[in-house]
Amino acid sequence: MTLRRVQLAFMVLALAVTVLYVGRTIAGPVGIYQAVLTDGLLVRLAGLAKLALLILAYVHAQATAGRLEADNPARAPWRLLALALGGFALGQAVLTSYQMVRGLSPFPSLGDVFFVAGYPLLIASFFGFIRTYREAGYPVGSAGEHTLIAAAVAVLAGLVAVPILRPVIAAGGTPVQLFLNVAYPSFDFVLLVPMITLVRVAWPFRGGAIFNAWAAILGGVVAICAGDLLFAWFSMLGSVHLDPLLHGAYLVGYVCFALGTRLHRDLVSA
Amino acid sequence: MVTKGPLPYDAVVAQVTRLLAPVLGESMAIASTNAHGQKLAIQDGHVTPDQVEALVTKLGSGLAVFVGREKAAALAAEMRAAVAQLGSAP
Repeated sequence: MTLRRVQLAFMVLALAVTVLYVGRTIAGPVGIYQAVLTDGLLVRLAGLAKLALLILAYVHAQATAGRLEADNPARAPWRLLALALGGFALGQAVLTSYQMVRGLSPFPSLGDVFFVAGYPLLIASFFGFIRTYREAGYPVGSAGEHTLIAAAVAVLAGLVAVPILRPVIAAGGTPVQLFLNVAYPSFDFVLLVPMITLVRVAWPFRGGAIFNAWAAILGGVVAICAGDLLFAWFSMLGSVHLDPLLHGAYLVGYVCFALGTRLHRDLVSA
Repeated sequence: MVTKGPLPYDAVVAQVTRLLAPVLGESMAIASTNAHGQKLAIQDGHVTPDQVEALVTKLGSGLAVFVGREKAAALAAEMRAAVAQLGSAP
């Protein structure tokens, strides 16, 4: 079995666990989910799958950066993206260690330090990609158009963020829990600004390998943003029974990250 | 120099975009080739060897941010070879 097939197997496994989680959310802890696919087993499987996918995504992003020349303007954004994914992988490694031992996902945990550190790097890398791709001479929109899109998204995100975050803040919790429940969705709203602009940049490339890679990466961002928002809401509401949906959202997101970075790595391979 | 004489611009665009489409997507391959082509001051629907070289060089340098210079250079070489075949066609 080639390394490529092993990676594909990981992705299929992760998606299979996602399907199991959807089934768990719909059915509840009954039948097979009570006897065999217990919450403890599923959280361990999901934890390992997430960790493997994030490591893969980090390795691919790092390899892409490494293959680009030192003065290639795309190298720095790829390094930042690799660091962000590395941060997520470290965070997941900590979280998975708890999950493997106790079968539970503690919140907050030391892993949150790495997850939180990853977001500014991800945001910075996306802004770097926008500037680099725009300046490469392709008809992907002017700086003015991108600024306009970013401003519009920022305003919309701000309008949506207030009603979403208000009850999260009001729900309270420990200072660290409160900080993280606000920080994750806030980072997501900020992340939306370069993400939507990158969709504008990537869209004209549809049908080609560049678009396929970016569609996967940006799809991953959408999934983790959804996961973060659901996490903040479910934490606030105390809806533990909906946790499987969170795991599913992150699994899909990380599969997309691993796939997208792999596809882009293939682009720069000789 | 890819050819010795002028070549039909449309044929050159067709050859170049055929090679770029798998990476850039067909519409971006056509759009970016035409965007660079418009700066070449083409007359009578034909391009000179120098203009073809300028076009391929521009397309290759833009590709580098996505695929790296090595692969961009390889793609540019393929474009030159494909256009050269146009020139040698009977």
